[in-house]
Amino acid sequence: MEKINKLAEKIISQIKREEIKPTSRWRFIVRDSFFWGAFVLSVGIGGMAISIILNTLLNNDWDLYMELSGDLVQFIVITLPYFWLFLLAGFVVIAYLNIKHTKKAYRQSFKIIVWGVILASFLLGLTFYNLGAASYFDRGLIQRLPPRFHQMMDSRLGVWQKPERGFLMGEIQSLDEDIMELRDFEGEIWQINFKSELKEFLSELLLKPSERIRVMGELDLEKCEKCFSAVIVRPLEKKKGMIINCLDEFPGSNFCGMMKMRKNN
Amino acid sequence: MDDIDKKTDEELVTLVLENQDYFLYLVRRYEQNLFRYISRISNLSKDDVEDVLQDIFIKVYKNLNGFDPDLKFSSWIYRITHNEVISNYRKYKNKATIISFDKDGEFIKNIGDEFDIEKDLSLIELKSKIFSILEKMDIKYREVLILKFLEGKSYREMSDILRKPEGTIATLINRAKKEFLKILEQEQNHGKNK
Repeated sequence: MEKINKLAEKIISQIKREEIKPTSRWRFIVRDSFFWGAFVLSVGIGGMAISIILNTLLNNDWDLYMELSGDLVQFIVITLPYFWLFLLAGFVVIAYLNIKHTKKAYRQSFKIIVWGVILASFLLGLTFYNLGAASYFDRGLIQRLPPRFHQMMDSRLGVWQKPERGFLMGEIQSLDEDIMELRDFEGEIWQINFKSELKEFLSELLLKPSERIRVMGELDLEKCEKCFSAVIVRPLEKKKGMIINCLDEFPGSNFCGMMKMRKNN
Repeated sequence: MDDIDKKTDEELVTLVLENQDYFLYLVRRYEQNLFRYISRISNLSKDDVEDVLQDIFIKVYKNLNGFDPDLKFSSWIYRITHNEVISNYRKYKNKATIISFDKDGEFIKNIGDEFDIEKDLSLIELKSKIFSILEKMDIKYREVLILKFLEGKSYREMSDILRKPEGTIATLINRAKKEFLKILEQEQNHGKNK
């Protein structure tokens, strides 16, 4: 034990000899703040992903699944927002790893932390969605990425970027009573003319340039190579007060699809 | 000196941060317990344990500003010791020697009672049996048994030392007990076959 008693003196002399100093309190505060900051950021990104997932699912074309894919299960498999689901999962893991490095998080179990992060992201995502931020995030990201990444970001492009089958999705470039110019997500410009049945509803849809829409109809090759005759037009995100009405005008099919703005009266 | 002895660890930490000479008292307060703890979990020789302990106390001194006063200081210093031993375990394993249980009569009694090891064994036989079982155990199981039965730590303290939820600590202890009993049974069967 004598040896041990000498240890204390040895340690003190080493501290003095090597002029060892305690690490500054600020370094610990900065380190802890970093992990909390990274945790909050991860939950924030998770919330953004949730808001886009909600936006995609709630605005998915559930009424058109027969026309778009022929089968509900296949439709779900094709249109699930995989990119955002993987991003959410990734940031839940990142949030977990960060919170585990904070002072007392180790006292909570893995399940509590992970479910807590998912719940916090969900509540934040719901708030973002209700504030209308989801389409702002979605659009902002899509606009900054080259077209080849667009389908990865929005799985619905897989079913809507098929003009030969009568489905088209894109952004309005210009619009007047009879014709609309649409840029699809591959960067092609389309001339969209409206079938007579559609015209009466168009003014109620309150469409405007730069808005993202989906169009159903048929190629009009007699007019031009990039001409499309529209029967149904619907914005990518539902607008407040908008309902879906039934219209049997689409050639060869019988489905509900026309969006119409119901004026609150 | 009497005044210093009456001070809590947390008060002593505050004093050390003002004057490094007080660190001597903190080292003296923990050196024996930590020496014993490191010996138990690492199986190192006394000289090697002393070297490891010196490194640990230097680390403790450097990190004093990071001590969270919401924790018990003892939990914090045991955590640093645990981390140091675990992160260098592979290196220590090659230097491992024999565990000495000379002064651990109480530990032997506690662990013997817990596992209901044959009552007719003498203390020396009991020590030898328990030692041989612990030596064969995985370090993560050996460590929880040592913390619980030798160091007398509560679940909360073990949770703070090992940075795991209390539920996980309970599971680890249960598994450690099962592992202990399994090895004990194997040894008994082996003895009968001889």
